[in-house]
Amino acid sequence: MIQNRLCNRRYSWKCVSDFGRAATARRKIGVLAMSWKAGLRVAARRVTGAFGLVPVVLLLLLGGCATTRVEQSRQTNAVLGTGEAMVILGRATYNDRETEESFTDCLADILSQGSNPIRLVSEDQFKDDLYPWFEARTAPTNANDLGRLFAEAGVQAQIDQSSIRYLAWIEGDTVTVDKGGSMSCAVSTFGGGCFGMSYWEQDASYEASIWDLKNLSASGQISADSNGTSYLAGLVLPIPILARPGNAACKGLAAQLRVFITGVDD
Amino acid sequence: MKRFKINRVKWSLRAFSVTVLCALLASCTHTLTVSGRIPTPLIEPLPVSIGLIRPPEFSTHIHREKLPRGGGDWTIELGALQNAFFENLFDTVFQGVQPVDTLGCRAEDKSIAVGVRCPDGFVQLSLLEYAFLPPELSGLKFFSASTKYQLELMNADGAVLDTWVVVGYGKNEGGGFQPTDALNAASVEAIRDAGARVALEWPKRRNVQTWLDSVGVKNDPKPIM
Repeated sequence: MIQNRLCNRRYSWKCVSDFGRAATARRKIGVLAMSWKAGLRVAARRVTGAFGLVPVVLLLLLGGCATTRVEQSRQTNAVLGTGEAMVILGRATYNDRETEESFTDCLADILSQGSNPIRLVSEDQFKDDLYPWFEARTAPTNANDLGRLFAEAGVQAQIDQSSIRYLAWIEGDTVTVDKGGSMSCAVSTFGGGCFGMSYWEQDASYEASIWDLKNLSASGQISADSNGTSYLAGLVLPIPILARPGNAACKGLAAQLRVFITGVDD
Repeated sequence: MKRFKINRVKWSLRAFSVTVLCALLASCTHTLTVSGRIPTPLIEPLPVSIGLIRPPEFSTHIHREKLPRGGGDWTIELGALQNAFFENLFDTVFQGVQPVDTLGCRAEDKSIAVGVRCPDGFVQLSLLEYAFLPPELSGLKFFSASTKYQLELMNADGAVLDTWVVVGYGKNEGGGFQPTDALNAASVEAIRDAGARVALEWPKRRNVQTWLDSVGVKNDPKPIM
C-alpha cells in the first residue's frame, strides 16, 4: 500500500510507506485519514469563529491537500512486452454514477508520457474496432467472459492486430461528502466584495481491474482512494484553495498502474 | 452638432440593447446536428438477403422540443447520422441488403430492380421516438438521450413475421458551457446502443430464428454477455 499527501504547488510533500497488501492495513489507514480530515474541519470552524483572518489564511494554505491511499493485488507477474499496448476503459453504468471521462483522460495522459511511456490504444478507437462488444450494455463484466467473447468472429484477430495486451477497466467517481460554511458577495456603487468562508469535502474512490488479453484472465486490481477539503474564503476577493482529490487519485493510480504494467517506475 | 452627438449615443445604446436581447434569446435556442463516428460491427453476417425499408423521414428526422422551466428551445437533426449508421449496420448484419421503398417481389412491384433476385425477407426500420433530458431537468449531472426504433420483419410475400421495439440509451456528462456537445455524445451513444441490440439480440428472437430456418439458415444463437 502507498499513501501520498499531494498538495498545492508550493506546499507539497510526499510520504511513501509500504504497509503490505493485507486488507487490515487498509482499515488502519482509513481510520487515520478520517481523524485527520475531521480534525481539520473542526479546526477551520473554530479558527474562523475565534481568531480572525491571518490564522484562517494559514489554515487554508494547509487545507488544500488531498490524502491518497493506493493498494494493489496482483494475480500474475506478466508485464507488457515490446510493441504491446494497453487500453483504458471507463466502466459505463446505467445508474446516476459513472467514472468521469476526465479521469480516464487524465490516466491516459500520464501513462503515455514520461520516461517510460506506455503505448495506449484510445478508448474510442478500441470501442469502434470492437463494436458492438464493448458498449455499456454488452461489455464483459468479468474476465471469465473473455473466453466467450474471443470465440466471436473477428474479435481475437482484431485484438492481435492492435497488439493489445492489457485492458484496464476503471470504476469509481468523485463525490462531495460534506460541505458547509457560508459566503456572501455584494456589489454597490461604492464597490463590492465577498465575505465569509465555505468548504466542501470530496472523496475520490477509483479501482482499476486489469485483464490480460493474451492469457484471457484477470491480472490484478489497483485501488486509489483520495479525500481532501477545499475552501473558498471571501476576503473581499474570493480566494479558492482547492484540494482536487480526483487529480490526486489519478496521479496515484497512474503511477501504480505503470509499475504494474511495465514493472518499472517512471 | 451637439444634437447629432446625442442621437449617436442614443442609437448606440439602442443597438447595444438589441444585441444583448438577441444574445439572450439565442442562448435559449439550441440547434444540433447529431454527428459522430460510424463503426462497422465486428460480427459474422447472417447468410440471407433482405430488402431494407425506411420511411422517407428516417433520414431527415428533426426533433423539436421546447423544454419547461427555461430549458430552452431545442432543434436536433438526428436523421442523417441514424440513416448512415443503420445502413452500415445492416450491411454487416446481413449478407445482402437492398434499400427498397415498398415490400413485395411481385411483377407489379417496382421496388426491386429487374433482374435482381427477390430478397429472402424485408425489414422495415422506423424511429418511433427520440427523447432527451438535460441535467437541469433530471437533477443528475449528465445529459441523457434515448432512441426507440421498430423493426418489422416480413417474408418475401409481405406477411409480417416479427415486430420488435428496441430502445437505445446514452448519457454524457453535461458541460454547462457546451450543452450541445454533451447532448450530441449522448445521442450518438443512444444510436450505438440500439444498433448493438439490433446486431446481437434481434437475430436471436424466436420469430427471426423461425424465419432463418425457413430460408435454410442454420443459426446457432449464443447467449449475450
